[in-house]
Amino acid sequence: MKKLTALLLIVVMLFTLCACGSNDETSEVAESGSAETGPASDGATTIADADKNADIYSWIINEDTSISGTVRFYIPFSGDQGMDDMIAEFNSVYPNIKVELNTYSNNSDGNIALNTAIMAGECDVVASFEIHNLMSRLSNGLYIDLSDRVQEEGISLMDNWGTEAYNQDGKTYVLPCGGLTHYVAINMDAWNEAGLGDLPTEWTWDEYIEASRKMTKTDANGATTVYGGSNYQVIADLLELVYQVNGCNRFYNADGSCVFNQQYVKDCIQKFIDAENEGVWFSLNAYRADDYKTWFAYTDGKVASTVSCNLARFIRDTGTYPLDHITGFAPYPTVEEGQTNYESGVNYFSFAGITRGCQDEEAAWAFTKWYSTYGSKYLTIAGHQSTWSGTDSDGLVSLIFGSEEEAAKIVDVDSFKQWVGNPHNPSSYDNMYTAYSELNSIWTEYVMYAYTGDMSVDEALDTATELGNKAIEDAS
Amino acid sequence: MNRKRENIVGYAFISPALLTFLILVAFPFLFTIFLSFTEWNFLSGWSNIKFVGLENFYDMLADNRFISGVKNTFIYTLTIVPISIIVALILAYLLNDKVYCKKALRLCFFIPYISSSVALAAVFKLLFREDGVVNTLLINVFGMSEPILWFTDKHYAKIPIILFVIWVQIGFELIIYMAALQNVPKELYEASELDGVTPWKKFWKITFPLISPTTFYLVVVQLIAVFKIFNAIDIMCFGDSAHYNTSLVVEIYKSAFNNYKFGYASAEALVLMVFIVIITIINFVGQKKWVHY
Repeated sequence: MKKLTALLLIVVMLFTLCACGSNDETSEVAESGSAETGPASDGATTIADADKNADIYSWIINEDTSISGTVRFYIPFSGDQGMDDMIAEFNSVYPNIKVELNTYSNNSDGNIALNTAIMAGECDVVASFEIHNLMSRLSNGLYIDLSDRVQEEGISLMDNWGTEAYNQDGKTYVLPCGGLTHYVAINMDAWNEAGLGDLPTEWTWDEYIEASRKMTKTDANGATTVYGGSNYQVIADLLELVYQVNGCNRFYNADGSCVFNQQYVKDCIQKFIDAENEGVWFSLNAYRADDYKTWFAYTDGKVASTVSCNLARFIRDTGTYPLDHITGFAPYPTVEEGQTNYESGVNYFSFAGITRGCQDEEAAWAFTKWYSTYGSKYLTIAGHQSTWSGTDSDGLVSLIFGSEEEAAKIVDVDSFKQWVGNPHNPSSYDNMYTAYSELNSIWTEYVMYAYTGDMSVDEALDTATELGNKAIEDAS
Repeated sequence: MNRKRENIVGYAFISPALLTFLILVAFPFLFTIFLSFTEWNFLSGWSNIKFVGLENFYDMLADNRFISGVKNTFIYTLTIVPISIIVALILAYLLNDKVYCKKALRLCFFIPYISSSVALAAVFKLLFREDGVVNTLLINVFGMSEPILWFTDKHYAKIPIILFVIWVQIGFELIIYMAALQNVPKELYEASELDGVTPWKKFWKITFPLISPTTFYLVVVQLIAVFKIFNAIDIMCFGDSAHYNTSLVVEIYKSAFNNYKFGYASAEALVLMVFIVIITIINFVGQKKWVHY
């Protein structure tokens, strides 16, 4: 009797838990949307290719703007990073839709918390940052299929955002409205003091390292007091140089194999390490050791220049980060002279979609359309960029800094307009995602071994390639 | 009341505890064992659980990160447990004697244990920064030429973690030892003094054997705690993907929540449990030789 009762209790509980956890919709979407399949190759274009004469406005705002509802919006930016202004402008169009802003941290803990919130039905619209997070959500069916809505309303992804590359199996789940530009931010006092002349409109890594050498300051003992340059602190971002060379797919060669052991990748990583060892670049290991960031190193005066993609967010806040110099901007360096620089434009980075637990789909759709178009310009306040072809790039300086006059007190306006979020510059895209997260982890781990000296660059990147190809093979 | 009715009433009384146990302990435990033979990402729902047999366990043998996690966990255990227990015992012995500000000192040692480990780890992280107090001391007092990158240098990466955990654990061990020391009969010390026994012999022949059950308890408890070391590493080494300072639990967490490999993470958790059970059994067998009840 005792055994039977205990067994019954266990069985009842297991069934209850299974019933709570099962979700038919999830399964269907997950089965239909495998991240490994990749999009159609005809989506391989970029924002600069969007048709400038196409109608990209008529579909955005509903005929009936009096619809009401609540939208729970998740994005890594807080209200004072442009999101309050964005929501206020949205409410001037849709006064009856309440948007609840929820800021999540764009790190692994933050993303897992967000995924759990989506599964619990606590989110309506989510802006996913970084491709691996997007792929994880798509392959697990966390976004709903927007294809019918997109088709019914005649929305052209190409005309609006210049790409169809971030779809799955021909279905549209997200709108690729946010981007990033990598550039070099430069302390103009240090630049001028070093006698480096005009800011470059194209340069190679060798030239940037040489300029860093000239801007580096040392004390009487020869120890570096101000580093002339720095890479961005995120190790995965070292592979932006693949985007720069190929214009697509940071982890893959054209045949889908792993790109890590390409000679130009090895050469560049070796150059970066040498520049650090020479004391002209701030050490990537030091960033990692202290969880330090390039924007701190730059605003603290520890580096005279740095590769960055979000510095505008910090230097516009003159109260917290007061600087006594103007910041100039130069393009992301190229591997070789004369190459097309696919890193100089806006590269896709964030994607908005409606989640499967959405409570009020009509309100969420109205908001998603608005945020992905008119609203996306507010991403620039947080240092990111809009990829919508209707965004007025000339007006962004005033949006970020208040006015061009105010901007001129902080940045070199001409170089800012030219190299920070300029949608007319060449940019890159992704259309291969096989084992994306694994490749990200492998790259990060093995590059670190090269930086710590545990392995030579050759050894580290050859091993990483071997593991990367195995991961690709296993996932294919 | 007949026997059947008595049984029903009995079950009714134990059902809250039984349900809690089944939901919070038995089910997760059994489910972890089940998951360790599967490939599953919790975001994809129950229907996507795929049985893979022993594949997760085979994969572990070739996984550098898992192997480093195991190796580092043993290093943490073999350093933190003996050092913290020895230091706590010495401090407890000293504080048990006539010392000034005994209560204040006891409180000072105990505060880290009851404080937020997150806040403490953050402070420790500051101390060990490139421009932190530790490096400043080493450079200015000991003439070291270059600051050490404590959290990324493979030779030093474990030291801040070990020091932090020792510092936090000492408070708890100290209090337990002080209670144990106060229970040692004073007559034994008086008798030994009459016999002219040296202080060291007094400690070694009287104190240590009489508090050996406490030492055994601390060894078992701390071994299990250090085997599950996570907070200190997760906070102090945030964002570091090298595995110089990782631990088994950190790897389990990363497999589950960074890579969404819940089957593999469950297999790793099962291995951790096996390690803990084996070491605890060894402890219980070994204690017969040195623990005096």
